[in-house]
Amino acid sequence: MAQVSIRDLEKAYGVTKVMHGVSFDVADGEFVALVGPSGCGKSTLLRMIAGLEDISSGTVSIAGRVVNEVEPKERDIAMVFQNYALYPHMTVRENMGFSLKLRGGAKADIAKSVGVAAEVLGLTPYLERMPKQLSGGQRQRVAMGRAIVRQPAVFLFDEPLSNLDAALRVQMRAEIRALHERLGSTSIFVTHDQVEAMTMADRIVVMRAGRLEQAGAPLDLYDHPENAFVAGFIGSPAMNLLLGQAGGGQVKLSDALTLPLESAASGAVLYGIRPEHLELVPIGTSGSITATANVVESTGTAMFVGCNSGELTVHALFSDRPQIKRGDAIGLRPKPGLSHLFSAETQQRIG
Amino acid sequence: MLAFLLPTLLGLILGTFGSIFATIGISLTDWDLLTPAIPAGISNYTDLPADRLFMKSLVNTLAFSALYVPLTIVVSLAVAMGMNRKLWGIGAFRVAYFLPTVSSPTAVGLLWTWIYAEDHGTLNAIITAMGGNPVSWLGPKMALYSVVAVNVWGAIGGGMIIFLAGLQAIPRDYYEVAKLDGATAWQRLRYVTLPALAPSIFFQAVLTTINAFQAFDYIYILTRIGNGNSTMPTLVFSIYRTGFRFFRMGDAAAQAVVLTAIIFVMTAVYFHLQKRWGEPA
Repeated sequence: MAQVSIRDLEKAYGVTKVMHGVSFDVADGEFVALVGPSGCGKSTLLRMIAGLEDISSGTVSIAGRVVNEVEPKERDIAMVFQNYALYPHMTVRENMGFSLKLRGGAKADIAKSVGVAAEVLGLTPYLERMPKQLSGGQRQRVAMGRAIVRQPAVFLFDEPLSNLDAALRVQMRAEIRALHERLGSTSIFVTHDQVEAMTMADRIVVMRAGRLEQAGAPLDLYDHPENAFVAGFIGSPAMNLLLGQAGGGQVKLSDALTLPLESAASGAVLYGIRPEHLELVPIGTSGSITATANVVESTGTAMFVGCNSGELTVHALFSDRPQIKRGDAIGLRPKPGLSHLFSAETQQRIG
Repeated sequence: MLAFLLPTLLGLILGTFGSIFATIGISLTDWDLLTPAIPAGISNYTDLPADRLFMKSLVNTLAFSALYVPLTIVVSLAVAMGMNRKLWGIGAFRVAYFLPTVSSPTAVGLLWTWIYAEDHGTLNAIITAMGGNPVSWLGPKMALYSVVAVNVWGAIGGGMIIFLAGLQAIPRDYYEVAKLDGATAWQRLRYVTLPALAPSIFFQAVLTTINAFQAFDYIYILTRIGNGNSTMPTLVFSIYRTGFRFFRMGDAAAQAVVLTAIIFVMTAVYFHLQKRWGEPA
């Protein structure tokens, strides 16, 4: 069990700097998700914690010890890779026991540890199989089993679910989370899927282009994004971010559209409203947007409507089933108290 | 369609299959190329054990193969591992190791006869300069090892290409997992690299064995003597000499069939071994 502490971490390849001073802490036993778009540096950061990438400057500490110069095997960590990295010439049992074997563990001890891990993961019937005889989900479990038998202080997951189909992903999400609770270990989970991050993590660290954008509990990020990037990245479908001019208690989004504002801000702003925070009102209701629906997608549990109001594109999500067809004109009103306001210039939250 | 394929197909059928059947046919006759062939049954085969040149060649070829095959595999694998890194100018090194493979064995063989020459050869010049006694590199005691050395040198490039391709196909993740698990360099080789390379190693073993039994050019250039004989005859040399020097085509054909059979059996053994141990990923 250990706490992980990242301080001013930087990474450069030659003169190209790809990480610009990232700092955050992971408490003992906490499940933290590192999330961000492709190329944001989240995997690099994880590999720096694991010791697979050099650290250009800053420190990584595990359990209070700076590990910058510590060999990966001495860091008391285990990593689960995106494509599992199971040795194809070894059985499931051999794959899971490999790290113990390298450490010179007694055969009986290895068998016992592997047996326990296999039991936890439901892999007991598959121990003598080769990886290629397993399904994607089973391979994923073996990769986790291999990490578990080492009883590391910290688990690192590098996009472990991205090779699975949608249904299996939802199932494995719950399994990994349950395993985390059961082992009580510290986990750092890298994903580009904000739904995975929202559903699994105690805390989310959002990264972009080698910088930390915001760290916090999933619902804090959803309710109070600190900047326009986090606002757009967290939540699905993404928040509507509309450019406008604020002033005098209202925001002017286009010549024909002005909405009331609860903030006294003025100047160029990004007005943010989540699709699920728009309600359907009769056309012409004060403070509403009149728009034409041009995309209507219904999943049964929710209805997604993409519409245009003049030059503006607005998305709305309804949990009931309003009678809307493509081409219909509808009225949309932001629910009071749920809009966000960001400075158009700095992208930072201003209300 | 068929009309376009016909020239190639005809060449293939006559050239490849035709010559195989012709060889088997000739091996059942006594024929000197000039007078009509006389049916001889299997006497050419039953006479082989009494043929001194053939038996000597068989022993030489087996001894040569026993050294050449494992050495070629080990050395070219080691070279491939050395070449499998991202260094500035690594391409030039790879070319350097590959050059012997694409050079003419006859020309390069002549160079080696200078290196190995007893009186004023390069190798002995170095040895005597350092105070040692000159070695008879191509004499009866050393010839086998000298010849193996040249052949291995000539085969490194081909093996290196196969192994380099195999090494580069091993996912980097395997090594990273091993590193996290605490594997030493030796353990990474033993548990990650070699198992992943098993298919390449088997393939290369089959190829090298076939080459070993067919070895001729370097060995002939290095060990030929004035009268057209060789101090270290091999099977292919024996076939050539029996057929085209002694004009005993039936005997030569029988030797060729036996050589083919040996290669066939060896290949079958490798395939069997691969099924048992070398289960590819």
